[in-house]
Amino acid sequence: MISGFSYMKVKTIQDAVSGLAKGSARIHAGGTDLLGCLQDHVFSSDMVVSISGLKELKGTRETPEGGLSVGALNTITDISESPVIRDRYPALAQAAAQVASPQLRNQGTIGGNLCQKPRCWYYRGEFHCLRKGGDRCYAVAGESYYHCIFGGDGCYIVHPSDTAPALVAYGAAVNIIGPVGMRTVSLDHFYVSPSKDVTKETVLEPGEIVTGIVLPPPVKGLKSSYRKVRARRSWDFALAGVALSLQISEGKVTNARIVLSGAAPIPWLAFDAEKALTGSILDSDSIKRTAALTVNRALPLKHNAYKIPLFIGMIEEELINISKA
Amino acid sequence: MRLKAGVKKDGTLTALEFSCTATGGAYPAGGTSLIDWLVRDLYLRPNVKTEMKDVYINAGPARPFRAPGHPQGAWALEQMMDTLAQKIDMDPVAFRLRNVPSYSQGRAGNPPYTTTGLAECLIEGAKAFGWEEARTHIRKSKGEGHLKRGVGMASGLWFAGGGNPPSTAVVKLFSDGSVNLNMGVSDIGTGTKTVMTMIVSEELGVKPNMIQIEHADTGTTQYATPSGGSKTVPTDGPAVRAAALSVKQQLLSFAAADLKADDMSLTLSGDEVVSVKDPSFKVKIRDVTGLKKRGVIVGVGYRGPNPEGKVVNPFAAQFCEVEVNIMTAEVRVIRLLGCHDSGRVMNRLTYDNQVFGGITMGIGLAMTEARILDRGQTGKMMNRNWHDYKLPTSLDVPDEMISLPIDKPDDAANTIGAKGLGEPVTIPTAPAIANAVYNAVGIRMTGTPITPLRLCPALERGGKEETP
Ligand SMILES: Cc1cc2nc3c(=O)[nH]c(=O)nc-3n(C[C@H](O)[C@H](O)[C@H](O)COP(=O)(O)OP(=O)(O)OC[C@H]3O[C@@H](n4cnc5c(N)ncnc54)[C@H](O)[C@@H]3O)c2cc1C
Ligand code: SF4
Repeated sequence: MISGFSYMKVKTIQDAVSGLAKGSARIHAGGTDLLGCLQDHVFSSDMVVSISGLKELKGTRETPEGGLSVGALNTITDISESPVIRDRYPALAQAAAQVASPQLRNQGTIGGNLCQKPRCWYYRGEFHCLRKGGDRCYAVAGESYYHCIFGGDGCYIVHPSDTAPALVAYGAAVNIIGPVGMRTVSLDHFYVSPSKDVTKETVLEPGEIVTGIVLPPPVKGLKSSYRKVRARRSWDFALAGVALSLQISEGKVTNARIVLSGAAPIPWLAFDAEKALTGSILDSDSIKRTAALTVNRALPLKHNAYKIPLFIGMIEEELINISKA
Repeated sequence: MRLKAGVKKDGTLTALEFSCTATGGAYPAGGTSLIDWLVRDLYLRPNVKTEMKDVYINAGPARPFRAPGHPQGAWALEQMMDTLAQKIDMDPVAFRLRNVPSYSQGRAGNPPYTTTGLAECLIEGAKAFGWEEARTHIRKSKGEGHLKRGVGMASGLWFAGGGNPPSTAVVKLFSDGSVNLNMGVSDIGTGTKTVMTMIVSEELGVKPNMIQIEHADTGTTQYATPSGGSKTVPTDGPAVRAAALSVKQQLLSFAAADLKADDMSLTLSGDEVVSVKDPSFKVKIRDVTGLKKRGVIVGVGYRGPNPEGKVVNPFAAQFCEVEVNIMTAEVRVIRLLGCHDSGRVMNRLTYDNQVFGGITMGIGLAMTEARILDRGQTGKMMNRNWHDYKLPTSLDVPDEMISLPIDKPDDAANTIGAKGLGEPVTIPTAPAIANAVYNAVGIRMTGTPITPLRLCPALERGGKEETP
C-alpha cells in the first residue's frame, strides 16, 4: 500500500521548483521507479510533483558546438530510436535499448533513469539498512550476488542505470535547475559514492531538477559501444556492463574511456585499463592486458566473485569486436 | 541430491542409488515429495535404493509445482544417463532405448503400463530433431570461435496423469438440436472447455457452436475434483462422453419409434438420425417426436474405474540445442523439441499450448528461476517480486520450439484414450538443456539456474578441459 500524498502536475519549471520546496516532495517524470519506491516503502512522500507536462524538457537539439542537448523527459525508447543518437552516440542508443523491458522504456525517461534509486534487494525490501538511515548493511553477510566489486564503502550497491555509463564515456554533463538557479555538472561528478555520503546517490540538492543532458560533439575516429550481460535476456539489470569509447588514430588508441556498469555504486571508470590502452594498438595482447586491468583492484563480496572473470571475458569480447569494426 | 549408478558396457543399467535432502519449510508439506520417482520408475534397473530427507527450516512451506519432484529428480537422473552413455561410448538415445521398461518398477507387484510411448518419443523425437546429424556436426565443428554449440536430450514420465473417478457430467439435448454440457470441472486456462466440447460434438455429431457450457459452479454443477495432477482430461473426458452417449441412446430409441425401426440399426449423422443400412431412411433430430414432446433429453455420465492392475502414465523425450558464449558464460537456447506420448491428441492447439508452456517453465528452472532466501541472516525471501524472481521472457525461449505428439490412443486407460499432458512436459526440459551445455563446453552443471553466476567460475576453473 502506498501511503497518501498530494499530486501536482506543473505547467512551468518555476512551479516545479517551488512545488518541490515543501516537505518530502518528490519529482515524478515517468513514475516507473518512483511508484515502486513508494509502494515498497523505500521512502515516503507527501507531495508528488509531476514534471511530465513540461514541454521544454522534451526533444533533442544540436548545440552550437556541434554536440547534442537531450531533454530530461525523452523516454528511453526516444533515446534508443533517435537516428542522431544511433549514428553519433551508438553506445548510448545501445545502452537505452537494453534497459528494462519495452513497456518500461516507453514510459521511463532518461532523466528518471539517471536519478533512479538503487536496486539492492535489502534496500528495496523491508530492511532498514545503512542507506535508509539504519545502522548496518545487510549485503555484507547476506545475499550479495548482484552487489558491487568496486567502490563499496559501508554500502555495496551497484548503480542500476545502463545509460549513465554510456553518457560518462562520452563525457556528457547534466543541466540542473533548482531553488538557487541553474548549474551544469559533468556526469562523472554527478554520482556520489558511499564513502562520501551513504544516503545519497547524486549531487542533487532538495528541489533540484535535471532538465537535460549535454553531449559533446563526437571526436574524429571515435568508436564506441555498450555491452551488457544479464541473467535473462530482457527485463533485467546488468550483472556486468561496459561502455567503451575509444578514439583511434592511425591504428593507435589515442584516448580511451572504459566505464563499467553492474560494478560499483557509481558508473565506474576503469582508470588503470584506460591508461594501459591509451597509446597502444588494439591487438590481442593489449586487449587481454586491458581486460585484466579493468578488474585488478576488485574486492568481491561473498557471492559475486563470478563478476571478475565475467568482466574480463565481456570486455575482451567487446574490444575484439571494436578492433574488427 | 546424490546419485550413483552402475552400467554394463552393452548399455544395461544395473543399479541406481539416490539420496536427497530438501527443505519442507516450516510446515510438513513435503519438500522431497516424489523427487526419487524417476530413479525408481523411468528405466529398467535391477537394483535401486533411494533415500529422502525433509528438513524443517524457518521459511515458507514447500508447495507442489507442475510435476512435483519430477523436474528435480530428472535433473539428476537424466544428467547421470548422459554421463553413463558417454562413459560406455554409446549414443544417449540408444542407451535410453536399451532400458525402456514396459511395467512400473516403482510400484508393488510391478504392474504393467497400459501403454508406454517412451521408445516412440525417443525414436520419433530424435528423427524430427535431426539428433545424430546435429551431434556429428557439433563434434566436427568444435574449436574455432567463442560461441560453442551443443545438443542434449532427456526423457521423463509422469507418476500420475491417468485420471480417476469420481466425475459426473450432464448433457442435455434440446428440441432445436442444441446442447448444454453441465460439469463441475474447471478450466484453469488449459482448454478444458474446448476438449469437452469436442467430445460431445464427436459423440452426438452436433457442431461445437451448438454446444453451450456450464461449468465449475458449486451451485449448479456436479461434484468434481480439482484440476491438478494432469488428470482433468482423462478424469472428466470419459464422464462427458458417457453423458453424451446416454443422450444418444435415448434419442435413437425415440427415433426408432418414429421410424418403426430397431434402435440398434440407427445412427446419428449431422442433425439427423439415419438407418445404418439405408441412409435415405431418416428423421431430423428436431422432428423426433419423443424429443419434441419432452423438449429435452438429459444424459448423465459417470467416470468408470481405471483398469485393474495397470498403470496409466504419460511419457516424454525432449531435445535441445544451445549456444554458449565461453567469454561471458551466456547461454542461449537455440531450439527445443518436445515429443510426448499422452495418448490420443484431443485437440492439437490446446495440446501444443501445454507443450510450449511446459517447456517454457522448464527453461525457467534451467535458466532463470530460483528462490533466494537471506541465508544465515533473516531467512526472508529476497526475490519476492516479479522482477527479482526471474521468469523467462519471450527472448529466453527459442524461436524454434516444436511440439511433436505421439498420437497413440490408450484404449485400455479410459473411454477417450487420452492421458494427461500438463505436467510431464516440464520434466525433461532442464536436464536436456544441461546436457546440451555439457555437450557444448564439457561442464556438468549440477545446480540451477545456469546463469553466468555459476557458469562463469566453472569456465574460469577450466571446466572445459574435460571435452565431451
Ligand atoms: C522492473 C524494472 C526494471 C528496470 N530495468 C532497468 C535496466 O535494466 N536498466 C536501467 O538502466 N534501468 C532499469 N530500470 C529503471 C528504469 O529505466 C527507470 O525506472 C526509468 O528510466 C525511470 O524513469 P521515470 O521517468 O519513470 O522516472 P521516475 O520514476 O518518475 O523517477 C525516478 C526517480 O528519479 C527522480 N527524477 C525523475 N526525473 C527527474 C529529473 N528530471 N530530475 C531529478 N530527479 C528526477 C524521481 O524523483 C525518482 O526518484 C528498471 C526499472 C524497473 C521498474
Ligand atoms: S548494499 Fe547499501 S543499500 Fe544494500 S543493504 Fe547494504 S547499505 Fe543497504
